[in-house]
Amino acid sequence: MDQAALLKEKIQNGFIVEGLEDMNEEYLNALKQTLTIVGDTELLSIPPLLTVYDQAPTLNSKITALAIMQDEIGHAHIAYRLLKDLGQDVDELLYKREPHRWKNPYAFDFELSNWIELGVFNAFFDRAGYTLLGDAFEHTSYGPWKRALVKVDKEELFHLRNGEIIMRTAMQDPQLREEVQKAVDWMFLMALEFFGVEDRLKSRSAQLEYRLKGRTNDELRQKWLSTAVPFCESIGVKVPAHYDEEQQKYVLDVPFPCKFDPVNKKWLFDQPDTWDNVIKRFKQRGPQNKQFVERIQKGAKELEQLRKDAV
Amino acid sequence: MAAKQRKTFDIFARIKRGGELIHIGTVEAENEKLAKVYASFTYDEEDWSEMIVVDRSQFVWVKKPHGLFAQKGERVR
Repeated sequence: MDQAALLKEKIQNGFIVEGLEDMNEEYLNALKQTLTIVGDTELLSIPPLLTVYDQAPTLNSKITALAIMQDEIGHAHIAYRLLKDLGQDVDELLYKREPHRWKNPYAFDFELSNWIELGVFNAFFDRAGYTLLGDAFEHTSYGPWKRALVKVDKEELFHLRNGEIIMRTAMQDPQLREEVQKAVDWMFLMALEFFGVEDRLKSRSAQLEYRLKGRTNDELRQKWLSTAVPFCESIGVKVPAHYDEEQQKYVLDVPFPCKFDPVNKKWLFDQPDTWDNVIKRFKQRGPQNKQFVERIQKGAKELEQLRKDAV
Repeated sequence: MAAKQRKTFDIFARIKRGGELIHIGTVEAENEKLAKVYASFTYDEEDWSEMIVVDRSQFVWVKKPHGLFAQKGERVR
């Protein structure tokens, strides 16, 4: 039996991978790719949150927002530390990588427009993180990651609850109510895109075969919908999805995927799209990609320059 | 660059008296003092009753899992 077949069989029987000597090349590459996406997503969630944090309505809200950002840095730190233990040059990854090569979701390449959007960001995007990482926590075959996710799981739940509180409170104010709906209108489908290409379009997935995660993209999307839709309905926000009794699953009332107008943050529902084009859009990146990555790298580059000047 | 002088510290903690001592993560730091600061700020998800940072290079291994693909006869480092 070759290494790949042996490792896959053992993992399907509950084997936990603890170190490099337990991995074949394919496992290592899939793990590194997964952890890079996770680290980048955690870290690059902060610049969009920072665009509106000074609009916090109370001091308590501001402290909560800062605590959430601190958590996200902690989560990114965990992913990058694990990558370093796998032999990755993390300084290179963090401070030398070109903005377009970062793996954070397209949704994080946008400035937020107001405090309500920060709430929807927490309620929708942190829920996506909670769904994805909760699945990894439950199923992953990589022991060090599974143990590290105890902290992440706990904190992401707190983030999404904070988002729900902001949304629920805002819905009681007629003016803010409109802002919630406006934010949901562009952020709902963005959150669904976090889960990636439809299952029927994927030939195979190393992440699933090596059990880095347990559920497929479509299953995870359904899991997100199963909590996000009832929550939105309970506070009176309209969402383009409903539970279909016949199919026993959530279905969308709009074309998905579909084209997006990044300038006006608006979905063009009259222009359905393909996943190939969505991937192209992801790779082209959103409007603030360069500015946000430069912000992350700025301090390290300035410090390096000061060191050079001092020598 | 300063990064080259950083060491890896493993962090162990106990949630409350009588509980298990668990490995909760790692930090990189130039020295023990900074490792303590980084650990307490990064891993603040619990109000730990105990938290310890240990320089990874100081671990004395008694036993380690045998790597699935470790060469036959090779001792696990």
